[in-house]
Amino acid sequence: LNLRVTLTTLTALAIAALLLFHVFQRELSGAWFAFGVHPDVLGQLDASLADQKRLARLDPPHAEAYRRRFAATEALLGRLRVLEYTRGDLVRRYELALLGLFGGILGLAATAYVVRQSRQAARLSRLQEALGDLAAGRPEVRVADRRRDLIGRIAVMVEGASRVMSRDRRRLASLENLSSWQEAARRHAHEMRSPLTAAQLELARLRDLLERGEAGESGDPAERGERSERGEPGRGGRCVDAGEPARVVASLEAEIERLGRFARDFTAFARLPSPRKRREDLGAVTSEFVRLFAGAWPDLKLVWAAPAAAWPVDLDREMLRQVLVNLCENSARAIAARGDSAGGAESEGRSGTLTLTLAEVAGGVGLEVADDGPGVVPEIVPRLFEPYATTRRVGEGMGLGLAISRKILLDHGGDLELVRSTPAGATFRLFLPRAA
Amino acid sequence: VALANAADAPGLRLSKEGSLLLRPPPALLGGAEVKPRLTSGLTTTVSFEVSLRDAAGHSAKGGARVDVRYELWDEVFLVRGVGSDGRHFEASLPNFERLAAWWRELEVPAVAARGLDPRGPWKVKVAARVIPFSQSEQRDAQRWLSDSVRHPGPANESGGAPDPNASSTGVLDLLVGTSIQRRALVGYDWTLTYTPERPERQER
Repeated sequence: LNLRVTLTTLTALAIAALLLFHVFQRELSGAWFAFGVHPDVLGQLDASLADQKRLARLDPPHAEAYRRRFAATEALLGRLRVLEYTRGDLVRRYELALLGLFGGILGLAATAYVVRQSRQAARLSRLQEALGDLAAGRPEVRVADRRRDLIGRIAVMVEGASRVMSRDRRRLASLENLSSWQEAARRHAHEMRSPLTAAQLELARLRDLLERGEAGESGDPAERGERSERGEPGRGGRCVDAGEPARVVASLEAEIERLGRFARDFTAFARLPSPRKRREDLGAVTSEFVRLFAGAWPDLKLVWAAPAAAWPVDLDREMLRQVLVNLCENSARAIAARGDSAGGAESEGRSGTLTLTLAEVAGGVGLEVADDGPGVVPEIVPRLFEPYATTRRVGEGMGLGLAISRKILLDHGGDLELVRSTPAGATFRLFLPRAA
Repeated sequence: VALANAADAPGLRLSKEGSLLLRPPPALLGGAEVKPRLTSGLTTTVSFEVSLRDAAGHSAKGGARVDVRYELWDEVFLVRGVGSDGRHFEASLPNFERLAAWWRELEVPAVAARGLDPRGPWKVKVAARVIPFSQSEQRDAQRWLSDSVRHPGPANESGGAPDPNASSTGVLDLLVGTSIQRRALVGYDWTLTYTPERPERQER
């Protein structure tokens, strides 16, 4: 509702109407009354009275008729003289009545206009909210405005657009979900296929060893003697090394362990426990982490300046440590990968620094973890915290670390976010609400 | 309401019956605004409202009225009046000079001074109003105008007199009823001090 325009319009309307009223109605009403009490009329009536009196004297037989006519004329003259005397009051009242009527109509019109404008403003506000919902990606936005004017038509368009967007979003989500599942299936298959293939090969070797061993021990003695005389190996084509079966079994165990680790990773992700929070000083917890893990990554130097003041938060110390380990692990891997891509000759490219900083943020505490690695690959940033979001080759990791880390912080009432990522490094922030 | 000169103030006298008699100012009827109205054929009413208050705070109120109507057919002034004691009086006067003479001699009971300190002094407030037509003439004009506007046909046999049974409701009647009022043509207010014990200094 544009109050200034509304007031200006109404004022202009009122002035115009008053002007018209003054010019036309005032003159008309004044003239209307003036006709009735015009001096000529009154003078003629006076003259008529005198005539009737004279006629009554001159024509006595009809004197009574003249007297009656005289009385009627006298009454009329008396009324007109009353009107003449009260004309000013009558005209003023008449004008006041018209003015009141006009003011009432104008007031009603103004009220109707203001009410209409208010309703329009309310409808526009609802439309604005609906557009906000639409922009925020809320599904099936409803405006509940079915009028056939411009706003109503826009409302219908917004709802139509919302329906289309919701349908597309559902399709996209389905496709993304499907794509995620496909990626997960691919990684699962590969993670399982690698140890299974290796185990299969080892089993084939073991069977071969066993067969050769059996042939050497329980075969035809004549044949065994002939091969031995000719200096030929057994059925396997070579002589069985006494330590070979043990190596194969060890390899088999390693592959099975790899499968077990894969299964444990999934179990850890699927059954992430609830944090057992205690009141801790985040600065002290971070200091402890840096002290304990200073040598965990040979090519990653941890930099941390312990704050003087305490930063009290409610957290699960072990789970926070897991998050920090994940972030350090990612940084160390990224820095190592950069060194590999640089040819491996430059020792500087293989080492890096990870700086931890505590900072006050709105509503809580932020622990920033910044490295000087190559940064996060831009393509993966939008789904960085989703499971299986990784640039590592299959078999080198499932891409669950950041997903688990964020879940841990969300369970703390906080969050994990990527603050910035450039070719000169990436910075993550662990947000934790300040303890009450 | 104009305040008249002290010389034109009404005269006061206490009657034997205990009523304060009022002598209207002679100039009241002869003024430029009043005199032409007297011969209009309408009834000119001169009303007086009088209030008394003694030094002890006792008070009394009263009034009087004089109607003057010029009879156009007979060409005489008909005067009717009533005082605060309820007594009516009337006179028929052939011309304005006789009317003026009668007016000068008029003494009308304006208020009963019972309960006031007879020694005085009394504070007397007199209000005079000259109304150019009577209540019946007012009602007649209202009805006639309403009917004329509502039924703008030819006047009836009695020369346009309205039908008394005609309905008179609505905005027009409200307008006419509130507009045609008996507004005073002129009015005067006097505040006087009257002491009954000193006849030679009755008026101030």
